[in-house]
Amino acid sequence: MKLSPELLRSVALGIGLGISTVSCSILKTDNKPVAHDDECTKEACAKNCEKAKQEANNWYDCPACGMG
Amino acid sequence: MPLRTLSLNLDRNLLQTALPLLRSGSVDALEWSFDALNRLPDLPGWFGDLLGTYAKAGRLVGHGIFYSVCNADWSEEQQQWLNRLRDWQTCFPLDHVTEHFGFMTGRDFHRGAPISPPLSEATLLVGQDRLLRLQDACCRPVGLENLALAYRADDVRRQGAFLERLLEPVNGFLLLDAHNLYCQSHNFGIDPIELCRAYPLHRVREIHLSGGSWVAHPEAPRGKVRRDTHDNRVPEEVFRIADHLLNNCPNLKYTTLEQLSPALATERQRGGYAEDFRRMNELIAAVHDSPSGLPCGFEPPGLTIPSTPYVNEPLARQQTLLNGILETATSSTDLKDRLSNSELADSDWHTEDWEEHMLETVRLIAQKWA
Repeated sequence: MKLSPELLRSVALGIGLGISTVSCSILKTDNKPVAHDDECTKEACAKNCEKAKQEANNWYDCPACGMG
Repeated sequence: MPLRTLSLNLDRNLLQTALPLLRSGSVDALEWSFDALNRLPDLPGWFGDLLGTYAKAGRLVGHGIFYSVCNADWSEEQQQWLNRLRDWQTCFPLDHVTEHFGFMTGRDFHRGAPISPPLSEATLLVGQDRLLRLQDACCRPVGLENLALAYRADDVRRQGAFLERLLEPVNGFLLLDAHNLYCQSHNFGIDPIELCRAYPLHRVREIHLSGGSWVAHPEAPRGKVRRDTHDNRVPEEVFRIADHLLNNCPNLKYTTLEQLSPALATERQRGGYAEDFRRMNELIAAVHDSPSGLPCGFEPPGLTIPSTPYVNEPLARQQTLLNGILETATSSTDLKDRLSNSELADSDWHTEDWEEHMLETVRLIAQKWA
């Protein structure tokens, strides 16, 4: 669907002016993104990535944003 | 041809990722979780304009999270949720509204996760009443999304038929989540295409594509549980399932890509999302239109809703009991012991048959949001 240039500009400006990182106020916003492969598990990641060290109550189990 | 749809909320990472796709003109529709904003009094004007543009074109759909369709008790929060939906529907007309099959854990209305109720006549009556009220609030087609979480293989095989019984009185539809099917396929060792066939595919109006993650568990197939966490690229197996659904759901209208915002913080991640969207669109473009003509609209049949919401006190008591046990059990062994010594034993919940790895999974989910 084609959107008007004016609308796209206002969206870009709105993003740039600063909205919260996540729309849900109960989520933490300081989680660093981690690159890891699809086989990674939190308990035993061969790459010892950050995902294995993440604390409980992390954003990726928040029903507001990911529990389909 | 199904509409190319993005799950989009008021969120910087998500919007930054979606912006190039919006600019390209390749986003036919938006899915919006309107109730994720229950703590934000006003939408920014530009976001409202974006929603309004799609709504005016009949291309905005709503995906609720917190209605708790199978909650056997009726709460003031649920009535307020319906009232807010009426307000949103006035501002941004939604082409349809979906919710999750299940009931919420957690202390208050915004905390918790949807978990599966027993596939019983009691749940059926509760769910049918809630769907009727949902339809009355939005005056549009209503649908339910299949749950990823299940406790035993029998429930997985029966979920499709049960959802059809729930939806039939309101002429409702299915939102079939391909990644949720993938989770169940892996977690219970069932072929995913065989699982698709256990669903009433003629009732599918929307499908979801997303990614997830693995959690190690020695009792799970291949030593790991698949979780629907929306924090990774769409796996190849999910594209395969989606391809099957695209070619076997005659009333499909929306094909929606979902991903969690914090997993879209880097250019690499956003590039992966764009690639998944491109791949999804390729599958859509290859779909042969149904020879039967226009898809079914699942229009509301115009039923009168009872003045008093249906409440099933024994089921409500069991749900509260289960939540309490899940939130305080110290291990899956402790969980199993407490369930076997509770009212839930030898009941429609079939707790004695719950798979070990799913006991631990549901315990961890409930305790994260206790």
